[in-house]
Amino acid sequence: MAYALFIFLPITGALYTLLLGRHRRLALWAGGLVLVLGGYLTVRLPLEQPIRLLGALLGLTPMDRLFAGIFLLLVGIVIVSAHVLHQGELPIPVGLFILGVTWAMLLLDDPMVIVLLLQVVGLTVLLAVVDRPHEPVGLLPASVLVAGLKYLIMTALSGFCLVPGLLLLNRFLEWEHVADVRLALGLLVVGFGLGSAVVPFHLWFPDLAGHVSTAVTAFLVAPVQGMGLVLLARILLRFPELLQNNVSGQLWLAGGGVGAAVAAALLAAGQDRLKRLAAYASSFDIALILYAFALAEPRSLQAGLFLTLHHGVALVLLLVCIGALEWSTGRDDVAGLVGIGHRLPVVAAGLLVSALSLAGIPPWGGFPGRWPLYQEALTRGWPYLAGLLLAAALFLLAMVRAFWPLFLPAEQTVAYRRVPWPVTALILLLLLGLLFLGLYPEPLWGILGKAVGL
Amino acid sequence: MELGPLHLSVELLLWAGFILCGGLLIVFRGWWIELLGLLGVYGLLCLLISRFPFALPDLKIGPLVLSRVVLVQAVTGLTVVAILGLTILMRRRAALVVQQPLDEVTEARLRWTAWRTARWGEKPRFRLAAYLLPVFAFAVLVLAAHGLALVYPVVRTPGAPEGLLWGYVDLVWYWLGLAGLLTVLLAQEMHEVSIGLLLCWSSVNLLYIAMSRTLGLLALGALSAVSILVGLGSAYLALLFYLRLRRWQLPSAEEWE
Repeated sequence: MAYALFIFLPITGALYTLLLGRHRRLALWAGGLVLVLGGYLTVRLPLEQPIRLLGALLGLTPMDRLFAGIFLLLVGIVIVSAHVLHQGELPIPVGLFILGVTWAMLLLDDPMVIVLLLQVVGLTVLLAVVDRPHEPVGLLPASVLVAGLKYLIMTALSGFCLVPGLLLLNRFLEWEHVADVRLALGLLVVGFGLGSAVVPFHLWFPDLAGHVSTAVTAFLVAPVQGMGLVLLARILLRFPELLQNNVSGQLWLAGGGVGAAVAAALLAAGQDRLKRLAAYASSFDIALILYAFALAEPRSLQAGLFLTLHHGVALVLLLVCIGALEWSTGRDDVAGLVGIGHRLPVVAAGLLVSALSLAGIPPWGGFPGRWPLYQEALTRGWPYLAGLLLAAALFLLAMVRAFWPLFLPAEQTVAYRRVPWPVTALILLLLLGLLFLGLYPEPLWGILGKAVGL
Repeated sequence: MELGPLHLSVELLLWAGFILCGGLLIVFRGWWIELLGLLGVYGLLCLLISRFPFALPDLKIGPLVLSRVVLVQAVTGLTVVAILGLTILMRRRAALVVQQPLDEVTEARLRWTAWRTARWGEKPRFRLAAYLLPVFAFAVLVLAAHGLALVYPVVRTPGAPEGLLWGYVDLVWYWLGLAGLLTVLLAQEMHEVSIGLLLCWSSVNLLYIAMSRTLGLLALGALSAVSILVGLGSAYLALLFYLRLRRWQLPSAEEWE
């Protein structure tokens, strides 16, 4: 009963806030109430007591609770910032719906059902792609609709790869046909690549991020892609045959992860719009998480899961800052950043810290996850380590190129307005969160270690 | 059924039906033909699934005794076809409902774009060349589905009973997946993209039902929900596209600059 309430509370809240429509303040209060109750349930739900519901097994582990809490926090931050920054009417219902289905996925045991629910969530986000109540539909840029169409196709095709991949994996366990496991790995990699926009399957994401509000991108990045990565880790833990004794598969996946990270960093270096830059930053980070998972060692899986947590926090910080900047100056291009470091110091600090953390620079949250990867890479040979360091250096360079105008003289600043205090407070909260992850990762590290059998 | 040297099984007839419906979807461009083809695919899918030994009739609705799995497929098919059909029929009405006051510059843009689209909008003549690529692709696809089902059967396994049925299931899921991908590639209208994606998902549906064999209500519901959401999502985008392109017939302000 408690599990059902945990799942259906946010989904019911989503429907209620959707019906409230333009009563924005009321919708925000209702959403806030759902989030508080959800937080209470997250803390109070019993651990390790599986039950059956509609033929599916539901259960909560400490790792699931950790991710449920982080997703709740991030969705709450995105909803509040979207409300304050006037990013449309749909972020509250869409955010609550995503939260409810994500919690259901965390509770569920069957990877197949989780994949299908990921598709459901991904397709629901499509509704929020066009959320511009002040602009006539007829004057929408066609590129927005094309970006939405690309997203629809890629999401559907990712599921089209993931479901047969999982079925083949199950068949391998039954028949031990070696070709099955290779094909399954290939389909899963393509499916996850398409869904989480890893280079070279990334083309839809920068276009989409460039056109939608930062709230929609944040929903995609934090709960949706985050849950996809948790699912991948679960699949690797449940089916170790995928990578163990599959040297070529492991080599391709690890090498592909490093290559994708280098390519994403290079592509990020060419971006002049901050929203597109954030999309490439996400692609870069996910490629490195895939590398961590590809090593298929408990320690690297632990690091990968830690980086998944960090991915959500760092990207949401980056996107909230970009959203605040867009609200304040009406621009999201690099040239609009001139002198912002002096005028909007908290936003500038948020941009810088998220960039440093994503590049794995201490003392921010990315470093504790990256360090074990560097050590593991060194044991496997210098090309791996060189690839990882090259990717990190290129990414840092791309971020320096994008953010250096922050420190130009304040006299050249574009017209701006002060960022509302709730958004400033949320940026500071995320900043502190990244610092906490960097300086004191042990509690989370312990929970994730237990989940991977360390 | 024996017809001289030709042995006609129900599975063979179903396979022929799938090829016919796929052919309608790939070769022809009329929206009602395509919706008919999609409805045909879902109908055939229900018939094929009803022949699975584990999909026994377990649900009584009045005089009808149905399998739950088949009923879910039928409802899904009818829903997505209804969504697409209504979207196509409502496009013109939606364009008439939205009225915005225009300024002089926008009026001028409207006139210019109307003139431009009038030049493009001449009634297309029947051209054989336009059918050559789809027909050729259709033929290649039939061969590819056959080849894949022979070389890499997924559902038909060496020790499994009902080998003939599972062999046809392999053929059909490969065919639906490939036909869906090709329809997306050749699509010229939004609803064609949607039909392609729905074919891909019906292929996944069939594969899942054939391979999992123990069907949970949640998984069936989720499979159905994905198909319906694909239909809804594409209907939503199709309406926006239509309003954007046909009502105003304008490039956006962003493009104008």
